Amino acid sequence: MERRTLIRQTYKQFDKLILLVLIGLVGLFIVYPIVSIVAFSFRSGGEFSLTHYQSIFSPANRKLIWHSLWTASSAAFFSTVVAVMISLSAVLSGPRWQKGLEKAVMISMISPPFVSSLAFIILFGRRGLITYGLLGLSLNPYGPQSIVLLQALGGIAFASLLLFANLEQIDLFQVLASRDLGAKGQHTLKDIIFPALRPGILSAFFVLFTMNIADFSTPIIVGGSFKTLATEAYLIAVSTPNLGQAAAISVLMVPSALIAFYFYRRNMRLGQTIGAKRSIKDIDLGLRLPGWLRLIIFLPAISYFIITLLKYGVILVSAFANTSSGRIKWTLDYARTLPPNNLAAIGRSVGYSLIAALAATIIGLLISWYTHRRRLPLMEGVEFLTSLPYIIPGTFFGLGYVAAFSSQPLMLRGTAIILITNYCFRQLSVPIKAANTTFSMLDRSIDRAAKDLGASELQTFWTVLLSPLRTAFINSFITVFTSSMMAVGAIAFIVSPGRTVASMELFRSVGQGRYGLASFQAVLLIVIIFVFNLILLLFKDRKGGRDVSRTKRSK
Amino acid sequence: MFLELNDLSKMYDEHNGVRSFDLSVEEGEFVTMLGPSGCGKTTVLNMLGGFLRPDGGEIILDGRDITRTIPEERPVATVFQNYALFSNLNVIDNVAYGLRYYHQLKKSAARKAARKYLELVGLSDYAQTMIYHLSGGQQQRVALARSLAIEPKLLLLDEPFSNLDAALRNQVRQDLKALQKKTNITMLFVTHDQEEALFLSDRIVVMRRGEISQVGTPKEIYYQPQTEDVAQFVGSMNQTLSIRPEDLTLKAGGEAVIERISFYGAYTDYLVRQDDDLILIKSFGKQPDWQPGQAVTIEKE
Ligand SMILES: Nc1ncnc2c1ncn2[C@@H]1O[C@H](COP(=O)(O)OP(=O)(O)OP(=O)(O)O)[C@@H](O)[C@H]1O
Ligand SMILES: [Mg+2]
Repeated sequence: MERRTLIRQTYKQFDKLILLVLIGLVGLFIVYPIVSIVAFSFRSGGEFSLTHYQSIFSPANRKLIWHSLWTASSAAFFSTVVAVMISLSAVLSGPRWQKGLEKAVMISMISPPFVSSLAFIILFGRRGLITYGLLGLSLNPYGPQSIVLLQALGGIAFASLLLFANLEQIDLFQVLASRDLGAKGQHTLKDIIFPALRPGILSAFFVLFTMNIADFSTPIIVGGSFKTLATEAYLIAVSTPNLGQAAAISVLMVPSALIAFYFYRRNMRLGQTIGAKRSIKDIDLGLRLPGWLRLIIFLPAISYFIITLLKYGVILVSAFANTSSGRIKWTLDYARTLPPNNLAAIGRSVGYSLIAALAATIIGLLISWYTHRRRLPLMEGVEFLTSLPYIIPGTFFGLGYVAAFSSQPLMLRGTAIILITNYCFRQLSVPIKAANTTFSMLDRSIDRAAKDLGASELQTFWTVLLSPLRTAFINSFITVFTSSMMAVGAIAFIVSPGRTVASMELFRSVGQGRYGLASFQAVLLIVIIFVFNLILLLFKDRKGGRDVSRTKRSK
Repeated sequence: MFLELNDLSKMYDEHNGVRSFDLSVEEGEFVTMLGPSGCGKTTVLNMLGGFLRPDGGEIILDGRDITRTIPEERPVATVFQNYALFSNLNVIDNVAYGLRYYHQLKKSAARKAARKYLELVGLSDYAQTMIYHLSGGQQQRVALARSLAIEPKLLLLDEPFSNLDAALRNQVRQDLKALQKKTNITMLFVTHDQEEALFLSDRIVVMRRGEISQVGTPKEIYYQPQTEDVAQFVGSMNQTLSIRPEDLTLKAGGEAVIERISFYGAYTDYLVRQDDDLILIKSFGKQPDWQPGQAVTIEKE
C-alpha cells in the first residue's frame, strides 16, 4: 500500500478509537454510577423493594423534605436576586469596572462553601467577635435562618458568572436601537437587558436550588438541630454501611435537579438570534437611571463585595489568632501544630485536581469537537449525558461512585482514581460549554479549508482548531481545578480515611469546632488555589488564540 | 439649512476616525455617504444618532444644537445594518416601541398608531408575527417602519440593504425611494455600493480616510469627479484618457491588443493594451466575437 494511504488509514482508525474511548468513559463514569445508585435505592436485602422510599415518607422525614424545600428555595432566590443586581451593575458601569467586577466575582468563588459558615460563626457564634466580644451578647446563631443566609451568600458568585455569560450575548445594536427610539435607561433595562437575562435567571435559580438541597455542609455547621434531607443522607451514609436509605434520599433530590437541568440546557442553547451581532461586553452603554433604581442595583452588589472581603479578612485573622474568648489574641499555634497529614492532604488535593482538570479539559474539548464540529449523530446524546453530573446533587453523584465502584471487577474504592474521575466527570460540562461557545464563533469553512488541503479530521483539529480553543482550554482548566480543590459534597463518601484531601480535612476541623485550625487550613487552601489561578492566568494572557471574536467582526 | 454639521471630528487614533466634517442638508433631501470600508461613514452616523460623542464641532438640526443631546431625546432615528429588531417582541410591538417611549403614548394607543406605519411598508398582515418568523426583507421593512414611526426629523440608514440578496435589494431600493418621496423625511444613507448611491440620492458625499472628497448630485459625482479617488471609486475611470469605459468602443485591426475579456451578460469588459497603457472598455449589449490577443483600435463613441 502507498505510504500516504497507509497514514490516512491509521488516522481514521485512531479517530474512531478516540471516539469509542470517549463514549466508553462517559458510560463508565457518568451513566454507570447514576444507574447503580438508583438501583440501590430500590433494593433491600438483595431484592427489589420500596422500603427505603416508604421510610422516607414517614411523618418525621416529611418535615425534612419541607425544611429542605423552603431553605433551599429562599437561599436560591436571594442569591439570584443579588446576582441579577451584580450583573446589572456590570452593564451600568463602564468596561473597566465591568472587568474588575468579573474578576472580583471569580475571586469570591475561591473558597470552599463552608468557609463562609466558618467566618459567620467566628463573628456571630456563641463566642463571636461581634456578638459576644463587641456587644457582650450570647446569641444562638444556629438555625434555618443562618442556613439560608450562608447558602444565599455562597450561591451569588456562581449565579453571577452564569448571568455574565447571558450579558455577553446581548446585541449592542438592540440597546442602541431602544435608546434611539426614546427609551430611557430603565426602559432599556426592562425591554432589552432583562429579557436576555431571564433564561439565565431561571437556570441560576434552579441550579442553585438543587445545589442547596444537596448541600449538607452548611446545615451541619450552622443548622443546629435543624435537619434537612442532605444532612440526613450524609449522616446515614457515613454512619451505616447500608447505602439504600441514603441512596433513596438522594434520589428524592433528583426531580428538582431535572428541572434545573432543563433550564440549564435551555440557557446553554440560547443566543443564536438573527443577524450579525456585536456584544455589549466591554462597551460603555451610557444608560441613565433614576437615583433610586441605581441604589437598588448597586447597593446589594457593593454589599456583597464588602461581605466577601470581610469573610476573607475574618478567616485570615482567625488563622493567626485565638478568638475563642471573644477577643483577638495573636498566635502561631495553628501553623505550628498543623498535623503532618494535612500537608500530604494538600499535596493530594493539588495533584488530583490538576490531573482531573487536565483530563476533563481534554475529554471535554474532544467531545465538543465530535458533537458540534463534526456533528456525529450519536454524540448529541453523549453530550447531553455529560451535563448531568454538573447539575445533579453532589451527594447523589458521590453515592453513585460508592455504589458503582465498591466491588470487583471495578473495585476503585480507596484508590486515587475514584477521586480523580469523580472530580473530572463532575465538571466535564465546563470545558464542553466553553468549547461549544468557541466553536460557534469560529467559521466552519476553516475546517473545510484544512480538509481540502489534505488534513485528516484529527490533523484538522490539531492544526487549525486547537489554537483558537486555547482560551476555552485555560478557562476550563482553571474552573475545574478550583472546583475540585474545594469539592466536598460529592467526595465526602468516597474519600478513604488514610488518603484524605485538603477540603475534607478542613470540613472535619470545622465540624469538630476547631475554628482556629480550620481558618488556618482555609487560608492555606485559598492561597494555594489563588497561586495556581494566577499561574494559569499568566498562560492565558500570553498572546495567541485570543482573536476569535475579532476575526468574526471584520467579516 | 435644515441639518448642519460644522467641523465635526472624532479620531480613534492618529489615522482612524473622521476629521473636520462639514455638511449641509436641506429638509426632505436624500443624502448618501459613499466610500470604501473604514473611511468613517458609520462614525459620522453614530455621532448624528448620539451614540458617539464628537471630539469637536457641532450638529445643528432644525435650528437646534443637538451635539450633546442624548440619543433618547434626539429627533433622529436609525435603521441599523443588522436591523436590531427586538426579538422578544412581535412586529407591531417593535413598531410601537418608539411611540410608547419617544412619544409617550399608552400601549394600546401606540399599537394603534403603529398600524399606519406597518401599512406604509406593506406588512399589515404580519402585526402579530414574531420577528424570527420573518424573512430578511420583511425584517428590513419592520426596521424601517419602526424608525419612521417616531416621525424623526432625520432618518439615518447604515447599509440597511447589505444583508439582502441582489434581486431583493433592487426591489427594496425602489420602495425606499418611493417612501422617501411620500414621507418627505430627510434621510442620510450609508453604503459602499456606488450603484445604490447613484440611484437613490439627491446628493452624494464621497468620503475617503475620514474626510470628504466631494459632495454633489449623482451626475456631478459621476461625470465630473474632482479627484482621482472619486473617479476611481464611483465607476472606474481610464486615467490616461480621462474618459469613462462605457464611452469607448472597439474596431478590428490596429495597434492595440485585447488582453482580457470579461463577459457579464448585460455588458462586457475588455482590457486592452495600447502603448504600454491598459485601458478598460465597457460595451453594452451583444458584442462581436472578439478574442484575446486580437489587434484592435480604440474609438470614442
Ligand atoms: N471604537 C473604535 N475604536 C477604534 N477604532 C475604530 C472604532 N470604530 C471604528 N474605528 C476605526 O475607524 C475607522 C472608521 O470606522 P467606521 O466604522 O466609521 O468606517 P465605515 O466607513 O463605516 O466602514 P465600513 O464600510 O466597513 O462599515 C476604521 O478604520 C475603523 O477601524
Ligand atoms: Mg460602517
